Amino acid sequence: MAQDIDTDTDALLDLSFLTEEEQEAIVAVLSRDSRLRVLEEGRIRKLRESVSDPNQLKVLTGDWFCDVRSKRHRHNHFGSDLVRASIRRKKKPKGERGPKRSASAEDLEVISEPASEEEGAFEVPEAEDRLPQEAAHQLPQPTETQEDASQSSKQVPEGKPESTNPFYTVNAEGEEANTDLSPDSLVTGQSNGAFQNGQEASAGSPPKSNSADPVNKLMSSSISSLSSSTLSGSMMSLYSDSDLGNVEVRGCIQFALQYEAKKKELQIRVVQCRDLAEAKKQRSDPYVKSYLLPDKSNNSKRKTAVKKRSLDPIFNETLKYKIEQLELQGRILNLSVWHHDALGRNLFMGEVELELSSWDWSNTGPAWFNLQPRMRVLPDILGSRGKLLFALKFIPAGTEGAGLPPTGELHIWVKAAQSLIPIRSGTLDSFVQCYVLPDDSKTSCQKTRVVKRSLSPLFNHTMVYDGFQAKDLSEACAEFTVWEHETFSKQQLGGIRLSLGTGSSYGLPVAWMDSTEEERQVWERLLAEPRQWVEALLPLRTNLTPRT
Amino acid sequence: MSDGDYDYLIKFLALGDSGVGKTSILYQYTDGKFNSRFITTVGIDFREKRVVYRSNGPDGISGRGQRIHLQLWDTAGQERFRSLTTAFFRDAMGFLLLFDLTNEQSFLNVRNWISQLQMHAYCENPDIVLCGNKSDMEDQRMVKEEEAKELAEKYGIPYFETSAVNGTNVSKAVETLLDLIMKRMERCVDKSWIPEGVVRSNGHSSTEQLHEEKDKGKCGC
Repeated sequence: MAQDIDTDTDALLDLSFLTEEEQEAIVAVLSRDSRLRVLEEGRIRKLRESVSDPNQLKVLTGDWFCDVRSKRHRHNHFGSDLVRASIRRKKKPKGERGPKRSASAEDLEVISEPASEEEGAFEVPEAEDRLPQEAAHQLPQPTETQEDASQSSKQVPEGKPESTNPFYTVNAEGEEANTDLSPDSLVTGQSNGAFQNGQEASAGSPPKSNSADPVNKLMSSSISSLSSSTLSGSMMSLYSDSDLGNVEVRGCIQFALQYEAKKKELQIRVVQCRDLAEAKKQRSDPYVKSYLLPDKSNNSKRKTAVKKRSLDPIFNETLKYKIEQLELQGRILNLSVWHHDALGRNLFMGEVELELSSWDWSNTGPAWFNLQPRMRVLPDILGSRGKLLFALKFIPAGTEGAGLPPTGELHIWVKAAQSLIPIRSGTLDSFVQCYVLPDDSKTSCQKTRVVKRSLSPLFNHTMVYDGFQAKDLSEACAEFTVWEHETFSKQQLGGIRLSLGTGSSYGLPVAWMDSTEEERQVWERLLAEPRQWVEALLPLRTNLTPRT
Repeated sequence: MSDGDYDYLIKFLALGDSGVGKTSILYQYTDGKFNSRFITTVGIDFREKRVVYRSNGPDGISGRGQRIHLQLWDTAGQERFRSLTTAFFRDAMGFLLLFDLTNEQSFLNVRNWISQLQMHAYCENPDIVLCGNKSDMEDQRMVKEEEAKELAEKYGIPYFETSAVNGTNVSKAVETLLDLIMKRMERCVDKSWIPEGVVRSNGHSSTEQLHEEKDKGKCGC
């Protein structure tokens, strides 16, 4: 049965069959596509300014394709925009209104309810008159600043919630469905006898409130360029914030971690939250949820009870996981705060993620963490987070006279990193770590110092590895990784692996001989030019194949 | 990889029944690798590759190749993702339609896929290359080469027997599709300034001349 070529099938799709995980995966792919489109829009813009021949322009910009397509698909929307809007739309039953929004979203509302301003509602200076807000998570100005002078000795990492990641995508799930508590996710609530409801937790005070900068201008301008050519007015409302039911992210959470070796149990003592945002109708009914990522199944989920009507809820509950300590090292603890809505659409209010491999387990006291907007420590949507400038030199044994050096030496000069893109804040503290594989022991690990607050840190650090013969280097790999240093943890931004990239070492296939062509060329030069510095500036990859 | 420093952004899309090898073919093309684990694609995915389309025309327009950034969309074959994947058909300039030489049903479904394309693609007669994949599994072959060639001829599209395992005809299939697109572009602007060329991708040099393709029928513009 022939179907009408319906140019108005720009009605949204029913994607309710997708699971949460599937949606996330798809949204991640769409983000990568957005990035490519943004770059393409930039390229096209430049071409329009510089190329005069209309025919040439037509092919170079891809207009030849769009023109033909528009005869069939009138609105000329990209399929990826349609899908993205459909995923978001699915979250919002008809008739429901999102919570009060920032001023900028008003312009977009087709289904509009005049957004009643909250006291102290904030201005978000972005491109107001257009936008599929990929940047829908506005990073708000706090309504009050808590000038708390009495900081405990347990300082909280001063994570700033703004993101300069130009490709930060709001998560499609601004909300989650109310799921029944399965036996696995039963909360083990334990009141700590030392605290009583209504009494302040005594362990330290919350840090200063986040001072958030306005939404990243780079992002809004790059996103608005998307809208200029790809969206018509009728679609724009679908991207408005209120459809997502976003709540501002504000406040902090206090918790303690402890691993009980005898019981083989991780205990997360969720103490309290402070200064949460109002999710709906001037109140919030918060609860805390935890996952041990990358496991996002129900087995990994734990929840506290809901504290009704509180922006400073005191939980005093311990969430427990039975897990081997070794297994724990490979996990990321995700603690998120949610508003429980009786109608079943719980709202996200902020989260904290910690890489447990770099957690100090001797630190068992409660600590405060600022709540962050939705972030996925996911397959990185950025292929590269910056570049590393370095030089290498190989000195074969005996080539410096008088039998020196006794064995071959590999000299590594870590010079600087450039244009780093941090995972969260506008700047970062970073260091570089180096291994010469296959030796992955502690002695093989050498690190630079931490350089603070710089996106182009200068390390100027030399290190030497010895004990090599030239043929050893053919089986080896110099692995550099750049890390973001935080008070209680570290996050890997990306790395480089220099080797011949053969996929095997000493006859055994290994995952870490995965050098790109550029990386291989550097290593080949190193082997071909002994006693000479070989310098290179290479992109930091986020796709290093895990070693084990 | 992409800094906007290319001359053309070309988007292709791979489609076909579940399990025929779409993901593997693309992975083989972009990375030169094969992973035998079957991980079904969740809805949609894409890979990218930079290739150079270099002219070798007789009138001496030599040298600077055309830098092509390929975005290769990979769609789930599973029925449940159908509505989702169909939405992406409109974004692609060319299509790699795959079936599995060891699975007769996947070949029988080729006609359905083509009619889906005719309905949802950017025009009624988009450029398609048909690939009978898994040519390395000769002892389990269920579709004869002649049958497949016949079908391809009926639709006026090129046919290749490919293998994601050993790479047979993978580059050839993609490069043929690319050549079809470049030629169509040329016709659309009515000017033959886009030279016939040989596609070379970084690290994989294709030394064969792309064979002449017969004209694709009228262009929608």
